[in-house]
Amino acid sequence: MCKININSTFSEVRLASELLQQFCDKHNVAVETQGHLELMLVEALNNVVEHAYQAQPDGDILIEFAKMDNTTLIKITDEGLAIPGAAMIEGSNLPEENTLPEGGWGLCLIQALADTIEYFRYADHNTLVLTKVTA
Amino acid sequence: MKINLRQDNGLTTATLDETRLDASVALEFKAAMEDIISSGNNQLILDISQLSFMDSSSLGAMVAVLKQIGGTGKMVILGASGTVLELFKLTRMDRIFTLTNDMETAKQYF
Repeated sequence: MCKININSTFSEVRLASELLQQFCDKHNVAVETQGHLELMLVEALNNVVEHAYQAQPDGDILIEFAKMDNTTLIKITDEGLAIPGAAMIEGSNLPEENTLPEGGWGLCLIQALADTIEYFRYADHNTLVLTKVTA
Repeated sequence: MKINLRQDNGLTTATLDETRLDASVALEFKAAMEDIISSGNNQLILDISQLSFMDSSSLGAMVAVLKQIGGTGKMVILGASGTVLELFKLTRMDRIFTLTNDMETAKQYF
């Protein structure tokens, strides 16, 4: 287990990425898979910064990484607003490319790259658990 | 944000001298590219071969740049690889952007 607390800013998301790279190097995760994990992590954290904390910079985010057998787990806990409905689990449609979208891909990317997604809304916090087979 | 420009017979190559493009710099990237385009560089090869990571907010910034270039200009993306290339494919934006790994091929699009 390896963890980091960051504030809800995009620049601090980089700190979590750097820790993930160290974690992956330590556990000999293949470079390609490491890229997938990083994209999952960054898209999930960007969502927390932008939506859960509404771009307010003083929110706390706890990020934990763990390796269990052949699977890498990313757990993200925040105290911001809940994700509406079951969007994280059920997913959203990929934006139509011909409309030249400038966003709206985050959840779709997480769903495409993660093997399992669990989202829990508690009284005062949210927890997102993503796993990916990385052996 | 480091972007190196080279001009050759009306064609501009903008080389992104960064290894990472994410939400913390996406607006800065977009503003820098908009300055380049508004200075008359609308026949553009954007070399992103040094990028090892890019997120979807940066992809959105690239779409905004593409819109600014508009119908009279053209932009070719050079050197997307690994997870960066996968980002284009997973979002289906590889159907919108012109992507290539070879400079000579990139030049032939103009």
